[in-house]
Amino acid sequence: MRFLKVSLILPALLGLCVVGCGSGDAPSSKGGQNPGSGGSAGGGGQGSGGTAGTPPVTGLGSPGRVTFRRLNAREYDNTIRDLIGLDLKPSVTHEFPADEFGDGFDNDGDVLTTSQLSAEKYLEAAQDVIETAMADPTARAKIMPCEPSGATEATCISSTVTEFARRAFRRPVPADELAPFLTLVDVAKGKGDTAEVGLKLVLEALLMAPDFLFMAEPDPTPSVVRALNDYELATRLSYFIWSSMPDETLFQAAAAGTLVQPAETVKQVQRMLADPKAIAFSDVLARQWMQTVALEVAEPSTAVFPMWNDGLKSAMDQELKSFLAPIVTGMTPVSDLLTANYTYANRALAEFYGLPNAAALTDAFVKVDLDVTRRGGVLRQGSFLVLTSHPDRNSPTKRGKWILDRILCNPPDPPPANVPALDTEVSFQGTMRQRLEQLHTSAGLACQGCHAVIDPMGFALENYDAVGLWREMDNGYPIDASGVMPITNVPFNGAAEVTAAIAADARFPACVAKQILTFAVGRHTTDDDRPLIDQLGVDFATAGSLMPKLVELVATSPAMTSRATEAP
Amino acid sequence: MALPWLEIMEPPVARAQTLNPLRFLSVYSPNGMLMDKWTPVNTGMGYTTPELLASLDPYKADFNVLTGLGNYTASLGNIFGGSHTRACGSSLTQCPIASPDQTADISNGISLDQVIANEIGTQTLHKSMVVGSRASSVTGNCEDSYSCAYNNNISWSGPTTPMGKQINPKDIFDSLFADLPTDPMMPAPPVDNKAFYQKSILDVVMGRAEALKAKLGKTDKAKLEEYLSAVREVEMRIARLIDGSVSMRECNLPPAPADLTDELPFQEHLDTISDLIALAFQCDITRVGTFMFEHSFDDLHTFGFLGVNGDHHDITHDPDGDAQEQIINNFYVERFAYLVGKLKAATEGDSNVLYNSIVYFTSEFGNAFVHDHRNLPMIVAGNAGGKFATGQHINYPLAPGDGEGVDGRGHRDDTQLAHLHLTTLHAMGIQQAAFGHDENNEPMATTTLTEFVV
Repeated sequence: MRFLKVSLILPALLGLCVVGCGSGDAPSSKGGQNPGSGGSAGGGGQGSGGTAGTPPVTGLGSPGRVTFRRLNAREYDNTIRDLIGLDLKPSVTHEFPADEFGDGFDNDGDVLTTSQLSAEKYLEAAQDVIETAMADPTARAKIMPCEPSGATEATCISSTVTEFARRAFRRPVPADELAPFLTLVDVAKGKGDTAEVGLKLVLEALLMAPDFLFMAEPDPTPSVVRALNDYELATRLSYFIWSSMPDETLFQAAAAGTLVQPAETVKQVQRMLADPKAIAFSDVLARQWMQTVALEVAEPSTAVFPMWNDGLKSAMDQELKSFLAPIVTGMTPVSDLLTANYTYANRALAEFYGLPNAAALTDAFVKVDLDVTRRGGVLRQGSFLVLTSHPDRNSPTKRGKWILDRILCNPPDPPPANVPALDTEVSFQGTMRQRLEQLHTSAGLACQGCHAVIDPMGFALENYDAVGLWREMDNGYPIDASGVMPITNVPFNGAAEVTAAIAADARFPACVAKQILTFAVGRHTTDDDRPLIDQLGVDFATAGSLMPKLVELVATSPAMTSRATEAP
Repeated sequence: MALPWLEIMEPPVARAQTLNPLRFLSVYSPNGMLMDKWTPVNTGMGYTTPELLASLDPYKADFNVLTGLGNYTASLGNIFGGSHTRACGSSLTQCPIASPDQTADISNGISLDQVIANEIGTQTLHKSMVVGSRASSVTGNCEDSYSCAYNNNISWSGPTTPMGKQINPKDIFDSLFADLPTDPMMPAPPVDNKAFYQKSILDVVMGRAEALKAKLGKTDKAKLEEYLSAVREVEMRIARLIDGSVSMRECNLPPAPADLTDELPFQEHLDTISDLIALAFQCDITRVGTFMFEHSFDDLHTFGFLGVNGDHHDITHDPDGDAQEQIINNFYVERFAYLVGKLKAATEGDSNVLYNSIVYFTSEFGNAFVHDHRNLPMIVAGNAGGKFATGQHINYPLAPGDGEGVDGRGHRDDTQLAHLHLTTLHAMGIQQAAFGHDENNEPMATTTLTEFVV
């Protein structure tokens, strides 16, 4: 038995904590944010089309309020693609500053801010987009199917601007709102330029306007709960499922005033999920729910892991994306996320994992069956295993914390105050697990309280190293992957059993519902949302844990179809 | 007897060049410093250069090392966790990151550089330049449910608005220099109306935003107002460009740097940005800047090129990691030395940009192993046009006792960063009475440091 003076490698979170860990339930309420659901006010908002809507369902808490929500970079690019018909990706070419995340998602209205740098980039992008569009014959004809000169100049400009604004602002825009924008035509003529130059300025201004850059949900009546109007709901739905603007079919349902009726909402949602643009939703699940956005910046050390190469990152990313696609369409239940006996791999990835018959594969990703004692589910896929590791070693605490946060919606409390410096003379021996357990024991109950909750699920995955490869030994000692689930104490031994235990955990379906709800409405959830989240979890599980069904349930829930307004 | 030389006889060119403007720059490096390798063993002039300051030795006469400065506001909060976040976020603002619901509320204060930019920034084309090496926060919660905004930004235009950063040298270059009039002394009217049209667009858009404001509830209105402020800043910048009211200097521009790619080595990335800061200051495009070498809590960057495995944050919590940590610390100090050298080489009149600047180099912690923000590493380089005497190590003794902050690592009676920031403001000619505030809304500092002020 080797005895080594090994480093006291502390978990990244300086994990020493007071007795009694775990926040238990949903995040604390933002007191005062949600005025009571005293009555509902129909209508509100602007534009024509259906404004009455159905009254919000009572008994499920306040629907909450989404803060004036800026399009994030991703949404901006998709919107320009659908508005103009050219996939220009302005946020990339013009280097928009990064959007911050809230509760794991990049579309949180409270967290998204607008700095001067953002505004500079929006202006550059707006001008570049319009110049490029008007120089492209197809895009130009779509925006301006007429000639802004001679006898038809005025009507052409008016119709072009009215139609562009309807799509850019995602609602019909009355003439009096457009009038200030149209003055830019005269500004251009005043400088000796043509009407077309002026028209371009108008279009650029529309792309700079808050009605384009934000999802505006004006609240003419303060401190009530009001239903969203059809156009507001159309916008929320399309950014939920497509991360982009509504298409004409959705606009028409809004114009007809029927979209807010639950049956019509469901019909549109099903249509939208079947549309290729729903890949955006699938990408959100991969990049933000599963957090593969962190995989992009992971840099496993090739000094420690010489078998690693950067190409594996994109392969692991694609594995998860391909894996999620049938879950999103409902071909497979969401529980497959954890317990599937298959994955998607190409030859390079299959060889890396050491899968049998890897040589028969090509560069294409195909479904491959797995030996479930070794692989199966996202917790044994490279993306999760790598992004929860350091460059030179894995971290059971990071893995445990990720599962608690992303899969069980039960994130641990932060470490406590007054962390003492550790005795650096102490030496621990054994596997990472043994050394951590010795460390926490020596530091006292203060540490064990939290780490008994955070670490066990991570320890169950100790057979997978920092680049996701299987190992029997760690630091020369055999790995012990046994433990019990936090709170419920369901026992497990090894990765296959822990993933089964997590999939069977009552917190899992409600957590899936909470994550999808958080992204759908673009705000973090509060205690007020708890009844809705629990109901969604139950209904979703009853319906076979199919993601499309959850999307429908969320799309027709009061949190999505109504809002609690504020005083000015 | 010669006549007195009357001001009106002096040609405008010469007059503009005798008065060198003052600049402020704050450079940030993550995850603290090994304080036993950083802190000189003696104080005053001619102190013995410690290991971590060796690369700055060529410029020893041009900076002061200040030790013992604290950040009390970083300790405020109802939990310990999140200390990197609070310490970085409050570094230049000296306000508590007060958020009962950490993920949703962004709540800080205005940062020192933006206070200065608001005062002097409209004298130049650009009010400030805010740059760094990394744009994205990557994931949702950076440290115990706090928003990554605090780790990713040291510049804040107000309590809820981080400034964001530009990271691509080519993008920075284009932003700062593309609009430069070719003859600084005689700015030509814009021949293609570009700036005029941009301003017209923004005027229309601001009008629309004002109309929309009336229809929104309180929180929504605040977000719209934030957008309006941002647009207004752009509009004012363009107005300055159009009316040529800003200071202009002859500027020998080098070719634009290449676009940022994944292949650009970290050292070259940082040094290229440093070149652009020196250029921007020398050309008087802006007089205010901040530069984040990396994000606070950095656990993403790898230093294989220095022979170091693992990530910086992990290494700072490894009791056997000192040797590796020192290599990383030294790397960042070297990058700062490079920047200082460029500023000093940028001559103006009979002095240089460094002499006419105040340049910070600091981190959110001293000893990162225990998240100590009672004793911070701080270098103040440059002479503020003669107001600061340099070449010293000045130690500010810590107040007795363990400190009052929740995590025990802040003491209200330590000399605070806020005291230094107030000193900087006064040296920049901004006679503010106080800087920062504590949990009771009392100012963090109402007095200034005197030890190095001439």
